[in-house]
Amino acid sequence: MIRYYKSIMIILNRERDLMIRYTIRRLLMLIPILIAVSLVVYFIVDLAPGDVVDVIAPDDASPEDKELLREMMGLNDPFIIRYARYMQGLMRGDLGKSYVNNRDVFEVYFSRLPNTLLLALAGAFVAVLIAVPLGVVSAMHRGSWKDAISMIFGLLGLSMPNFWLGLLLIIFFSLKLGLFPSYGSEGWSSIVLPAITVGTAQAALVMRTTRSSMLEVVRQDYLRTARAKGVPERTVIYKHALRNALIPIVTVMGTQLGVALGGAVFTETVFAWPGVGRLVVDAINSRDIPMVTGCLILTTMLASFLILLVDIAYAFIDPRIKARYTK
Amino acid sequence: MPIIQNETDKKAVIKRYKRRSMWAEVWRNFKKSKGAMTGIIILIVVLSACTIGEFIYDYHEDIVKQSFDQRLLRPSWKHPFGTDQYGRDIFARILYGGRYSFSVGVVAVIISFSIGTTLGIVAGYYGGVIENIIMRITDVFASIPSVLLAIAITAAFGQSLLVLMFAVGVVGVPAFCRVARASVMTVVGQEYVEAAHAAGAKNWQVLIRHIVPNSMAPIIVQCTLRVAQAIITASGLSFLGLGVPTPSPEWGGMLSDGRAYIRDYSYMTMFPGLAIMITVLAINLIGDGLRDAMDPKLKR
Amino acid sequence: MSKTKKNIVLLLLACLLMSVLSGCAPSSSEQSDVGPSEEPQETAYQKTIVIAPALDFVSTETQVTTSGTSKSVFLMVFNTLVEQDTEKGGLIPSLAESWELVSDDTWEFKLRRGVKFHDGTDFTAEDVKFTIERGKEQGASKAKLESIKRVEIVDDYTVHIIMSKPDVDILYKLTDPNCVILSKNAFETLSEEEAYKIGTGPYTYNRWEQGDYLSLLRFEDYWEGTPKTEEIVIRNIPEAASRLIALQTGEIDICISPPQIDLHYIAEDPNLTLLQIPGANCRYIGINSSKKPFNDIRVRQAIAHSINRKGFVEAVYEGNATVHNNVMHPGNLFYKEIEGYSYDKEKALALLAEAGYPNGFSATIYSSSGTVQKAVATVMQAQMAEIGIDLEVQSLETATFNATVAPGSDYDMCVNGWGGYVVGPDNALRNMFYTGGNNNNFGFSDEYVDKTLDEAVSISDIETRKKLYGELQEYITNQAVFLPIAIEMIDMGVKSDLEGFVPPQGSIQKFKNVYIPIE
Repeated sequence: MIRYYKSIMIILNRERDLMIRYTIRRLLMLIPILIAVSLVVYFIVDLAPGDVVDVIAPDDASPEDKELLREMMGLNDPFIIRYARYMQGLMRGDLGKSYVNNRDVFEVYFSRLPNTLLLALAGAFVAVLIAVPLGVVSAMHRGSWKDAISMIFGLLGLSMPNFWLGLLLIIFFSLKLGLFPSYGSEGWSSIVLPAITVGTAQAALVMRTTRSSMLEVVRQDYLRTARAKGVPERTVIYKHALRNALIPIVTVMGTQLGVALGGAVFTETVFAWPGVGRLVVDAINSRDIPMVTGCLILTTMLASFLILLVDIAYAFIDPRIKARYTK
Repeated sequence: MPIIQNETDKKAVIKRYKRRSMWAEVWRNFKKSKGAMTGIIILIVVLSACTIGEFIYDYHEDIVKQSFDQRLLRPSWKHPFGTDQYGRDIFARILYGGRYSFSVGVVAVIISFSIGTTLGIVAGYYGGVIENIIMRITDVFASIPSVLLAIAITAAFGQSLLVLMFAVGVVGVPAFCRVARASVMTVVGQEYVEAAHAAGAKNWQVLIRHIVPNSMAPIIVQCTLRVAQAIITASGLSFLGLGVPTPSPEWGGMLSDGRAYIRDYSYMTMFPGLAIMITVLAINLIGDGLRDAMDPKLKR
Repeated sequence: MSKTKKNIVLLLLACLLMSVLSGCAPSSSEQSDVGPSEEPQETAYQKTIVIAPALDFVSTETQVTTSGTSKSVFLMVFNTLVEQDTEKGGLIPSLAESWELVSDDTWEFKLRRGVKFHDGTDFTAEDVKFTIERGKEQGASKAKLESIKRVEIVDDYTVHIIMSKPDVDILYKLTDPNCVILSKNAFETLSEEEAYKIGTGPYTYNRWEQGDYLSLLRFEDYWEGTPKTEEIVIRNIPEAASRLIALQTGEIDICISPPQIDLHYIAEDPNLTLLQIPGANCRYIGINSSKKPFNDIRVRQAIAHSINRKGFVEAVYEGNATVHNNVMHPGNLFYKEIEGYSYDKEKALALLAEAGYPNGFSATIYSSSGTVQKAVATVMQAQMAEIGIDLEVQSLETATFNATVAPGSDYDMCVNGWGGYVVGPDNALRNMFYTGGNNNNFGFSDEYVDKTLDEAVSISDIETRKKLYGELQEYITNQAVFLPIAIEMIDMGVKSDLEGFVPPQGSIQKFKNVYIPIE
């Protein structure tokens, strides 16, 4: 017994080592990516015609005043110098301050992030709520009218521009029926429409994933065995089949959540939802380079962490994948 | 060594035969799919309506000319989709505006496809340092949220149809690159590629003759689905005021203009959105059909 | 293995569910703190007033920002030395109790005693000197304070402001929110970010969720007496239609710029009042007169004659704007009624032919991507097509637009707005039309205009000045580089029982006295 235990521990330790090493390697790989992201973003926004002074300078400011302002903000230095200065701060963990109102980029980003997360999670919740049952029904009744309707729903959700869906929801539920507010983030009811908007497109994706992964699972022997043993059909589907089909679904949700961290720009615009997406768009429009760059660095970082988490979870579940990663 | 030479020739013949039969098989499967055929029919209807619009409407007379006695008329026989705040017929504008969505969708995907696929194939085929460099750059672009990247690009290069195509195209490069690389990698190990190498074929010959054709299937599916995605993204940028400049009747821009009138004249936002949705739906149906037809594993 | 798998999946789902629930739960209990539904207290005033402006509050930096909404907030959190009386006209004392010109170049200000800053310290002459001297170096306040040479402290409550050049508008300039009085002590002891939040005004900064809302709490020790309303919330609802709905459902009390097509909803609602105030902004078409073919005055005049202003007011403003013919704003004391250019297609065609363009030409008109700006450009395009001028519309986002039409740049025509009249006649004309003026993006340079402007600013006799400025207005209008379209209206929907509303100062709202009595 003790001998077995020992050998099991050795194997486990080695695997944990590999996992940790893998994780560390992935984190280290993230650093150059973040630096490159900052360079690309800084460069693109810098390329745009006009600068922040064109946005914030008063109507009656003279060209000399504007020049002076540029000089004070260091905007007249060549790109390399300004970027190097930015990098210097970045290395110290300082994301700089907004050109527009001098607020700390880090602080502003994290004041908006909860709204984005809330919307993303609520959207995911809506998606799961609609999509998983639909996907299961669709797979179980393959080729029937139920399948057809679910598939059509899935395609419609995927084909509908979400800013349009948002406007439609506003027309019907806010204007005509007066059920939910059409803007803002105050109170539970204001999240309903944005969450449906975000959720619908995801639902389409999750539904299709659920369907195909259910179809895959249904063919497995153990389900046949379960049925043969006289387990009721509902239990077979929801307890045995769905549980095993969930892994790809969770992966899709994880990736979607990572995407959602960048903010649902269109939904946020339509519903005046104060999330990260709007923040970045506004910052791009006012040429607030530190704000844009900082936000995108943080978004990339968080999204990468999320994907890493999903990967690690995956590796834990499936030894084949682990083997591939640790190679 | 004449015998081996002979062998490869035979192999090539067999392979070409196989390839032809694969496409025939795909088409047979595709035809059977009701969804895909519906998609094709819808797309043909939409495209021909837009083409007809091209001929019967004059840009200056029917599309941008304002008539103030015709302002904000609800849908009627004369104006099936109503008129907008400048008295312009929305039906005519939607038909005419199809060209923007289609051209952005198609050109953007051509851009993503040509850059992405080339990079992906090179990376997948050569491996090593080249692959590493290409894939890391891809990672960087893929990790910036795509809509935000597209917005930044349009801000940088100004608003025009070309910039819109470029922005939406660039955003799609990483996806193509990854798909192409993955499918090349599955092909590279196959026997016929090794055989071709053994027969003394040069790298580029192997690439063009064997690897590209055989890794096309997933890329074609990706292309179709990306056209749909590109149309949505482009209309979204126009919705934010970053797309095709006014007064061009771009669907997303029309939708955005309708927002101020959403309360009493909601048809102004309804119809352009509907146009986008139907078009994208048709393309998605086709894409789905193609995927099922090319991947028999999913089908059966 | 399957056990672990199961657990992880369940854990992930549980996380998802928990975060959704926890995200939703607390906010539902907070719902009641906005709006009129507070419990009755001994004060018979509504506790919170919620205002939704068209543009968001963006910055607390009083001397740097030019955002209209931010400047409106500064007038609640701070005081200026003198204040504009927007109801009766003229100036009224604020932090300065009285002022007079004691010599050619020196203004003496007697300051108010017993005024406290939000941090409890006293307001003195030191703060005035500090604010003005600091403001001369800062982005937005610089232009307003540049004619001041220095500030001398006579005693704790008297200052001398010494001018470097004659400036008849200086008192008006000092009423601008960029010139609110800051606390010297705060800037010496706190970080800049915090120091910018210390004022003497009736409200103090409470909470700012950028992009969502800004909450202001009343300052109990305010020198004019404690405000009646406890909290003022500036809520960001960028979508105009949503803003109006929020007003109708009672979530907000003041809605600025509802959609013009929907104004009838306010008029029809007995609980709401529609306020329409002639705004500060004059919408105009700018022409780059340094560029061919616009360097020919006949071409510019042809364009001016082919503008149908009524058409603009209908199509762009749904009738909620006033046709305008002059380069100066009617709100200015020195405004002169002039005829301007009539809508005359025949004359326009004749002028074009005379200038050598019988078949018209092509050009580009730039606008920002704002709804109104875009609409004006679109209508302009249609109207110019009538005389054969083929305009291409380019709607650019603000930064690109501003850079594209900046003075000295190479554009053709643009849609723009000008509200600079509030700080006096010289400011209104000099910025726009003086050779090399700060806003002179018309490439306009005229000896007569420069000479007359210089002359008028140094004269103190009001009648002579009126005459000179009147001549200038006619002359400049005739030059047709600035083609006025309409004076825009500020539309506001407010609760019918709202009191204490004062007309805005230009585009800057004055909300510091608003309250709603409750029965």
